[in-house]
Amino acid sequence: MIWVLFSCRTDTSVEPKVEDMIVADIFVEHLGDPIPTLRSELIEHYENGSSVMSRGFTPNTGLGPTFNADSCAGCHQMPVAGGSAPRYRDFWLIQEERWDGALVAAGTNGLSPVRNEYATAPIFHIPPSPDATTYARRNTPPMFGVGLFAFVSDQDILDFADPDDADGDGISGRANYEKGEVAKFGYKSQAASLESFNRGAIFNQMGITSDPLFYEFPELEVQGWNWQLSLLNTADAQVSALDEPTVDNDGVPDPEINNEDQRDLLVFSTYIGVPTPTPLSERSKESIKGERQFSEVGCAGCHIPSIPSVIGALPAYTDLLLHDMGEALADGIKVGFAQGNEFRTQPLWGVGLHPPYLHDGRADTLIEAIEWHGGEAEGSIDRWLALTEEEQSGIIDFLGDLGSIPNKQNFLNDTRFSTPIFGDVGGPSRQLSSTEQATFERGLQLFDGNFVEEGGLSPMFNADSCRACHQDPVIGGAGGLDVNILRIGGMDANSVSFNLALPVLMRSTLPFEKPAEILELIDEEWTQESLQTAWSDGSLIIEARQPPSLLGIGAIETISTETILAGADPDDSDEDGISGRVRWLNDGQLGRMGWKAQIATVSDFVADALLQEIGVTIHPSLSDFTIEDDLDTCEDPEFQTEDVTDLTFFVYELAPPKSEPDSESVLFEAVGCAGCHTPTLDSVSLYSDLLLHDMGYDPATVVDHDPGVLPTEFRTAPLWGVNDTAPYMHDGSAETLFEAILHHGGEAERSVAAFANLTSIEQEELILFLEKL
Amino acid sequence: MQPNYLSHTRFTHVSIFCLLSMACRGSSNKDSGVATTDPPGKPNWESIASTDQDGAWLRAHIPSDTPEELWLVGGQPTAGSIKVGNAIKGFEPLELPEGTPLLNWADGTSTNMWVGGLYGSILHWDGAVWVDYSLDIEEAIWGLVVVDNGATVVAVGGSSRWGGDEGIVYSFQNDVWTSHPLPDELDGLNNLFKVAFDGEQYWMVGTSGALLYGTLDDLTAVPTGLTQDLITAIATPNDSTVQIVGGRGTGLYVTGQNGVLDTPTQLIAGINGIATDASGNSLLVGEMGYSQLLNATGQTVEPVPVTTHILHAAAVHIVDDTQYWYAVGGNLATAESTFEGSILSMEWTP
Repeated sequence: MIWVLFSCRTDTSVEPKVEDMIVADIFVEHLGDPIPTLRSELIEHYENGSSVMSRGFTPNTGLGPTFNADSCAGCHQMPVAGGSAPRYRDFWLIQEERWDGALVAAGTNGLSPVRNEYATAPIFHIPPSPDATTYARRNTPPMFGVGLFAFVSDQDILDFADPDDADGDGISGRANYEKGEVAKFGYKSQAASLESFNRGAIFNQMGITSDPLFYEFPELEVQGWNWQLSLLNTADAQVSALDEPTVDNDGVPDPEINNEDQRDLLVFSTYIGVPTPTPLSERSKESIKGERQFSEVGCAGCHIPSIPSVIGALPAYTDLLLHDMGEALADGIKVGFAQGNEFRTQPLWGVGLHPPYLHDGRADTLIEAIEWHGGEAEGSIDRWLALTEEEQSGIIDFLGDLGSIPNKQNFLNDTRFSTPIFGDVGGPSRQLSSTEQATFERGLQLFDGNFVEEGGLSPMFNADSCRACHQDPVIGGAGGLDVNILRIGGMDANSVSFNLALPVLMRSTLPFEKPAEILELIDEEWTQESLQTAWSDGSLIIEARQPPSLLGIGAIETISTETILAGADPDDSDEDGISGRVRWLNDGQLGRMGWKAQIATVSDFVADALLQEIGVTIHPSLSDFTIEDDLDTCEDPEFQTEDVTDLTFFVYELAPPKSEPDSESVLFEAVGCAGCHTPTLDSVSLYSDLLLHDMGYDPATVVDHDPGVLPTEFRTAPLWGVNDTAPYMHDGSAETLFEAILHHGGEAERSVAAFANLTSIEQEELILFLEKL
Repeated sequence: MQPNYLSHTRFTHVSIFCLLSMACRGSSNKDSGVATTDPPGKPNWESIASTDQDGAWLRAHIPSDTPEELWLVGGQPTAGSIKVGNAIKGFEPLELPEGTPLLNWADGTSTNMWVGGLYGSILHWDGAVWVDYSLDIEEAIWGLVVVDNGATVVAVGGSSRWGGDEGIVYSFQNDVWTSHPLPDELDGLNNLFKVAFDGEQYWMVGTSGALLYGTLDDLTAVPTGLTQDLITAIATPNDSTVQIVGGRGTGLYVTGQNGVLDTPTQLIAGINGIATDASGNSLLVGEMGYSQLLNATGQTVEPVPVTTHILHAAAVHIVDDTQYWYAVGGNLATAESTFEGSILSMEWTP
């Protein structure tokens, strides 16, 4: 371990070189791990904090009343919990002009409704309010190493400040403050403590209320002095930020996160490790030269290579000061001392891990990000533009070596990220050959990677990766409430039924609960007319759709048509109250995937999702669920056949969820659940007959998705792995398995009644059985 | 149990670092937390009480008829407290009627004192007896001012975590409380925090830059263009001026005259209280124990913080020919159900 002692910076003659001071033990091999020197007493807190990061909150546990995400990791998701997010998670800060000219925050919780300007429906584009005057888009930044800024003293930041540009280098730099302390956290450096930052984020983005942290660390009392104890002290100091309890009046008692979990979230935020930079011995000469030119160009004027802290110099490439970034990047948002054109210098360690770049995610690449710089960076940009292409590339190589990956853009090529293998959750369903494993791995990369506009993303999209909606509990899994799709349907002016698939936001921080408010925001004339007609005649329906888990979807394709047909009883000839109808598709195939059994094969599922959710086309010969031209600027097909094949292979081979072996339940049979949730089809233990059943919903509440399927009919959802895929039902309306059972109706009425008649112990036994599937 | 933020404050930690680093730095900074390292003459706080179990203190008032007496007003949510005294002789509690909730403000003389608190509570002290003049409302009384030689009382308030949801203005004359509507521009305003009287006009400040100016019959919403909360206003009757402080996270200080505000000065912490001495020197106090002294020549000094309690109010008076400044506060804006207070004093004559 190399903790470099605090140095005396007032006497420059004895000042050691910065590189001699760099603290070493903050780097991690596996992202998401704590810094290696984290004291053992804090490991448990860190691990619990990590689980709190990924905890999916529900309305019953405090989520909302409005929310943009249902977990911290919902936004800080890539490549691991604590990371950044692609553009589909962007949100907007919105301000309106008040009667006296002041700009005041709009939206819910004061500031930040989600707005996705690329969303598949124009109503989700700006402007949400005719009075709104300022829109500031925000892309989720990564948390790696950010907590270590807690160990940087106010004075060490102020030492770099030059608010009046006294040295005449064109770079000023000034501090922002919070409650009398120099602020360090946030794009505008608006928070002085991580506690303050965390509490703001969980309240504004999830509607989770909290109390100020008053937790004592009795086991961590300072007994003496050493550097490790200093870590504890300073983290403890983070706890001292005073604030008021947050309240949201959503019916769940406040605070909605307890002090212990909040403390552990703070421990996680403070100690999450820094991506390991490429060792000097492994760096290219271009990268080494690029490092020198990084300074010569002037980038290091703000992105200073290291900043002193009580644990040693942190090689974060930031001065933590506010700088004028020019009009092109100005967002008009003022926070504390930060003006609309000022932003905190972003850290660059691990920068290659988290495109898109800049506060609003406008830059796909580092070169774009550099060239958007203005204001105090103008001189540097002029010098950058004067470089040769080779010299610019060297700087990019250098940036990529700051804890990034070989090709600087696709983190999944990094060997530090292991691909699951046979036997792992999220791994393949069988032992793959080495060639197949390589294909599986490539398919996973494609599933996990972010599309950009040049790759076909758009013209509109709900997500920019497959993973975005299928990541719980592993890549390929289900999605939370925060990635629901919103369907709006009804009868238009010509009495023709319509339905629109819109991105989620039914419970977002925008006031979209009320159809009338949605109508006000429609900006496509035909849509507006149709929706207004539907609204006025009472036929307008708004319904959420939950992304299902894809684990085992390939196994579903292997089930024979005959086996599924054998379970059908469309006329309820056995008079058990359960019918079950096969969904035949237009091409003659038997539908077996999707909430309405509207898709027959994995390849069609992939094609449909790529087009509908991401706006990516594939070659028409591969599926009827794509189109030849999606009218964006990218040449079609946008996804090459080899990629489609590998992506489909990955999805197809995803192993079904593991079930625990004692899966015999008399109650499951006796209550009648097995009437539709058939335990096994062709040796596939999916607990579904893959048939359509009347669920007894009020037709007026369900969007009629397809001709030939009743609004109230849904395919029996497989129950394997159900314990890991809450919330439940097609619209995510059930938080628990208990609720999900009671939400059944129609053909399941008898079973629901039987369940209700069980003793509470029997009900718990049945729930336990389901949890083990 | 002593709360964690007192035993593990940023200041104590930084002081440890500085003890190690001072030897090579040869100087200290505002965060040093070590009073002995500060230059001679720099004002420093002395703590009279750091965890006063009588509650948080929200007002420090010096009655004009007893200028050496300081009235501290505050308490617990269910038990208001008042203490009277000064830095020399200490403070003694003044008994209140049973059931008096947290008190937020006081104004008047030692024989005509009005105090306001939660749930519309308003009490009058004639030097011997308390009389209850409370309003039947859920809103808290955050501020009040006694004018017309004690004949008129004007109270303002609004929502608190204990109830209420709208900003209110009431006046008391001839034994009757009268409600005054807010201008349309401030429709939906949930709080007015303080009221000051400049000899002719009232200044009322509240959330999100709200400022009312005028007479009780003609209150006008002043377009401040400010979005920060304006928390305290003090007026100087001789020249119709006002000083206003506020903010959260970062603070502001702004002066005004005749209903017009000057350009605000931004400060590095939210400011809750202000006091001005006869020479025009002012003390500003606020979040995380932050305080700043402004002298008449425009110089500023930041006294070394000795508490992380929020400082809510300030006062200044002369006792035995020595000028004493006070800052009082507590843990009011926290999740704690039991409050405790801080009382700080400082000798400083610029």
